[in-house]
Amino acid sequence: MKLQAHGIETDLPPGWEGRIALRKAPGATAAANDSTAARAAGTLGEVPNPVVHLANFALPEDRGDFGSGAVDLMTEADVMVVLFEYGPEAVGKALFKRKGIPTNLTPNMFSSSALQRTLPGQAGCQVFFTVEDRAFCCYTVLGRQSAANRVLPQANATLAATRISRR
Amino acid sequence: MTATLPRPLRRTKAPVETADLAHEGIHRDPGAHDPISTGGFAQKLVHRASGWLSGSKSTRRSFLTRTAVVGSALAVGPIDFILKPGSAYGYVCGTCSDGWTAFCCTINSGKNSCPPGSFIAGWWKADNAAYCCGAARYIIDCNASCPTQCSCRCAGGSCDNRRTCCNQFRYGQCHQEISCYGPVVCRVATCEVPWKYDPSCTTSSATDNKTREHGAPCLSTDCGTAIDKKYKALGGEASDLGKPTGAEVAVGDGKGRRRTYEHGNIYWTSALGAHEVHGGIFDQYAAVQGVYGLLGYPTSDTLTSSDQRTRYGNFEGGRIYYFRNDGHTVALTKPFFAKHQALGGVAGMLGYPTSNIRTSSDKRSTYFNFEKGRIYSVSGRVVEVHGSVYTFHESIQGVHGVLGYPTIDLVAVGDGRGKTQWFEGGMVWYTPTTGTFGLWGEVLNRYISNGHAKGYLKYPTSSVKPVGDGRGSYATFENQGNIYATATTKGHQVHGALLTYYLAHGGPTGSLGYPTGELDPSSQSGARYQQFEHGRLKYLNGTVTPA
Repeated sequence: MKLQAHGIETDLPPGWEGRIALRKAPGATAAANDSTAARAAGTLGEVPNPVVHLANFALPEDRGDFGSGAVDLMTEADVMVVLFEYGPEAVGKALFKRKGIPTNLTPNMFSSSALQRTLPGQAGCQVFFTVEDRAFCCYTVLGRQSAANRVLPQANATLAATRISRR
Repeated sequence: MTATLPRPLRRTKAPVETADLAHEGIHRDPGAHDPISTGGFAQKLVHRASGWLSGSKSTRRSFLTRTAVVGSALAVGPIDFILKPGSAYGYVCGTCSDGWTAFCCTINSGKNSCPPGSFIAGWWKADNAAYCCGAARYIIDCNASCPTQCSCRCAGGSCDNRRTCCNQFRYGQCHQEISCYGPVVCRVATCEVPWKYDPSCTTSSATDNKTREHGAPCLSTDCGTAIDKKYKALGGEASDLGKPTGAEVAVGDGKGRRRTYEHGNIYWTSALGAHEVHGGIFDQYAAVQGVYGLLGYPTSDTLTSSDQRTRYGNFEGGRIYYFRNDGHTVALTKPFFAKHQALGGVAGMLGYPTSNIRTSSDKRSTYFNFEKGRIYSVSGRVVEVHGSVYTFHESIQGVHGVLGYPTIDLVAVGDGRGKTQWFEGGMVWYTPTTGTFGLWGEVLNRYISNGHAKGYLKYPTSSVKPVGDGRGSYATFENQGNIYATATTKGHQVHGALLTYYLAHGGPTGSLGYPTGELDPSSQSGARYQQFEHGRLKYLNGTVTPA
């Protein structure tokens, strides 16, 4: 299944599902100078960027950008990949020095501490990178660290099938 | 007092995970070990604690059963706990089992800021947070600087017993020039936007509403006064108001309070609550004496019209419009505002106001101009004139002309065709087919007594105009009839074949002069007569002859 939005496209393997989302900017639905517009979500000035969630399990509708709400549901064979984009000001910064989407995640890159929320048995990995002048964090969560060898090939294949174009 | 990074329960041995994966884009401190698989006794204790509380599988009920947090809940935030029972687990006490990092105030001597040895590394927000009075709440991660000596442990606070230095995770919007990062030491919770809290942070937002109610005893949920709450809900310094420029003070009228900001004020009264006024609307408000003027206190924040043309603020005594195309403002005050609203407001027959209040040169009235008309307040009446009637009225000197001020609004005649409006000196009649014309004086008197638009003549096709002899005036009508009038003869209608004959013989300046009576009713012979100053006309079987 192909997903395409906001200059990001991916081809999901069988059994995977995904979302490419962009939250509304505060005030986007009202006049730019309307002070009441900031109430609904965030504060004027915030800039939401595209967020990609890819997983080999059913994604709940209510998810935090780094997978909160979804990672809680993961079982042993589950893996979730998040591509979180930053603004153009991030391009060229030390944190995003690496070029290209990571497509060869290996078990030694994962740590049970590298999680937004540490949950027993899980392991995570954050790769910060730049592609086509766009800065991203690739955050991958394994339902069980011990299952890394089994599920990482799927995650790598999914990432390899992901294309990001210049904006 | 300077806080330091929290000490682990027990020093660990040399870190095991030493591979530097920076070339892979993985920048977590290579010296920070995996707290589960390779950690020491302290880290294992952390996870044992997690297991004790059943980790992510713990239900709120079971959690409450196994811990004595209810009492703490009521002590920390009784209102929220009672009103939002679902929040007790997260709101009251973070536990070492919940996988999240402790708040900085828990481990940093009560300070809600990053402790030495850590740096602001990223942020996320939770919308509609009670902690921020309904506005967005921002959580800023303080990650340990590399190389870190910070090791994973439970924070051990009396309530916020979450972890410290356990989560090697980075949100990544702040200090992007620093690539290497250690684990999250603690979290700063603030209602202020991160890019203002620390200029190294970018505006790229991340959202995690599931953390909305994370709390700690050292984090205040006191949203302050109603004005404070309003300010926070609007976005604080990031709002259109900008920074506060003074303390909250009583207005001095025994009713309200206010606080001043760079670009406006927030006003509060017990009856109306707190509302902001800013920018051009605030300038206009100040120009009309603010709360002391006709407008009184605001009853809304700044709103945007559905047609996007204006922003506006509502007040006890009216409304201020700010026109977005050129920035001009209009303060539409009582009783004009109520009248305008009754007529459909800006979407009604008058459209937007185009002037602030004005006083007529005769000092009898005040008025507002609108795109399609005007509203007068005169002699205790508030009346409107709009559309072609307004245009006509203005064409004959408006209130200074023969018609004077309107005495009622435009009303329908009731025949499904036309409309009419009374003025002090006459009436204006309108239909889409005949146009808009004014009648006054003896011509109008005769028109009214003869049944006006519902009579023989139907609607006027001219206004009253002079005959040109220095004596009389007349008006023409839709149904082949005229009314002629002089001061001595009064007004009389001449119509049909008689009018044709009359005009063919010079009309009022011809041999017959002005009519002095109406056409008589039919006699027994069927003849009808009309008397003129210098003769009489007979009408019989369609023929008009001198009589």
